[in-house]
Amino acid sequence: MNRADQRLVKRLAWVLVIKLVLLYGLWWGFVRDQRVTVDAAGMAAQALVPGFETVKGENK
Amino acid sequence: MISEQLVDLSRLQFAATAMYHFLFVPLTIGMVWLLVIMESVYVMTGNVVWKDMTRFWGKLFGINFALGVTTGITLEFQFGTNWAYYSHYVGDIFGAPLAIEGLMAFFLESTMIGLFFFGWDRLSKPQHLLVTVLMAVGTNLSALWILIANGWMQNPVGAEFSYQTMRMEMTDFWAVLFNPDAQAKFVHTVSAGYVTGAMFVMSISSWYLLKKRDLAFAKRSFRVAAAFGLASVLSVIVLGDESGYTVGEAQQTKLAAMEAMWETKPAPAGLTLVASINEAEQKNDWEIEVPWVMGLIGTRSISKEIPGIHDIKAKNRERIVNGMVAVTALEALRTHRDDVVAKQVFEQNKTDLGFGLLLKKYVVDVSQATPEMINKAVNDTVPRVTPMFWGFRIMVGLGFAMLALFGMAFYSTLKSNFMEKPWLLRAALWMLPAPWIACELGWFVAEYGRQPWSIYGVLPTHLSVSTLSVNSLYGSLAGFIGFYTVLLLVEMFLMVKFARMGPGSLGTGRYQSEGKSALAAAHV
Repeated sequence: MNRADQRLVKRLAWVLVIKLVLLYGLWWGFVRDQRVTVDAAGMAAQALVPGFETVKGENK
Repeated sequence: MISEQLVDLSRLQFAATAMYHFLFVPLTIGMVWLLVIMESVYVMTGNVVWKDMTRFWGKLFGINFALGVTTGITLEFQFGTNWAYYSHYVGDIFGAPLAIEGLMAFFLESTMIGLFFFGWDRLSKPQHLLVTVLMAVGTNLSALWILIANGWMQNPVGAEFSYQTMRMEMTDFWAVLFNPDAQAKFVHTVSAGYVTGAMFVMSISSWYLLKKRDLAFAKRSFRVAAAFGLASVLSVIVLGDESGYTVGEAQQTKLAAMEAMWETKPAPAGLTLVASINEAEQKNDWEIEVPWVMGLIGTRSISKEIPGIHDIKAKNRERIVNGMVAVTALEALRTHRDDVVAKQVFEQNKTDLGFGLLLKKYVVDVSQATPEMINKAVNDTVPRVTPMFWGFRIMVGLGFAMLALFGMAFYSTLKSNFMEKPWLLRAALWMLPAPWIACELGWFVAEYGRQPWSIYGVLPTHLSVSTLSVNSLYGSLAGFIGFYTVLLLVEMFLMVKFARMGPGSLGTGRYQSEGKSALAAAHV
């Protein structure tokens, strides 16, 4: 591997590391706390009449 | 009701990240087969220039892969965050091909890429060629599974809705796998990637030829790219025709919008080349049409009609009314599981459930929808015609322009006179962005044309979106766009830098640009 290739590999490795850090940052900043839990009841509430309750003991 | 701003921002975020992602993908898909061709010739002939070609173009391929890898992962973030209801509703089906892609194709591709770059001195010639072939197979398998997932969004086969779990459940894996939409989309999309790879190699080779540098290397690269590009662009056009047929079968609204076909025309319908579209009055003020062609493409017959937008809307109105019955029956079933009448009514109308849900954009209780709301929902069932019509035409126009270019380039390679045609070399250089523009427009037509559905005919987009805050979406959108823009700039910087250095960057001592590249490398 010549000098130019070594530099390229080093740069690409840095790009990958920075990418992972940035992706982690985006996840940490915007994704981590945005947990939207959806189950059958939640889907029914979204798609059908709100406040509409499902029967007890339903398979979620 | 769900905020329209939330839906629009979620869509914009997904579209922006997907379109950035697809700037990297087609080059990877296409270049990898050019590497296979070049290395095969090297293994067969032992001529070292072919090894240099594989290594040099492989280096540019590697830059693109390194920059592009993980750009798709943000799309998967979004399924969980922005599209949680979508993920619940169809995750059982949609998740399967995505998981297989990660476990099977991506790992194969990534492992082989490592061996490709670091195995030149450790593997025998045939072993290294096998690695390159497996790298190509992995890359294309990756595309296959992603497009199976996407094809299912366009034509949801092999699944049915369960009122107990409020989600779609897979009933036939093989139907999902061999979904005609997915198969047509796969071959069309990977062929477009092959064109992108060929154009990239041909354009940069043309630049070397115009500069009269590294001629033995550049001439061979030009020849390979011209031949591969011609075969690929012909495949794109033929397979695009097949894709048009599957769209005509499964997504009539998309086809009608692409063709600005407001009225059902007598079979076989003509193909509108250009038109002045009047969306307000839902007609074309004028149009230039080629007789018969659309009927043949869309139906493969001369007797079948292709429905126009007005007729499609009339049918969709009926489906929305049936869908209202399905939604009401579903509500009753959710309250009383044993309600036999509700179950029967639901079963009779469940294929139109999604159409009933379109009304949720306008009314909380679908059974209370007014005729005006139904009208609005009916109008929603067809995407805006103007962007569909022109997006499709620009894509097709670029496809035929590339066919002409590759055709002339290939003919010139047969005659061995492409060096005497600087206009051809300049045209090849300036056409470099064409396949990317065509690919992006192709995705635009496919996905914008799917609206108002996230799963065509099953789940409306506005019901798929998570209930997030608008501010967090603005933040993540800005973050993603900034992130991708930086990646794109780095990609362009490295690509231009190494393309300018040329094969001299390999440091073999065989190229006239060697001195310059060594000097450049020393100053990087």
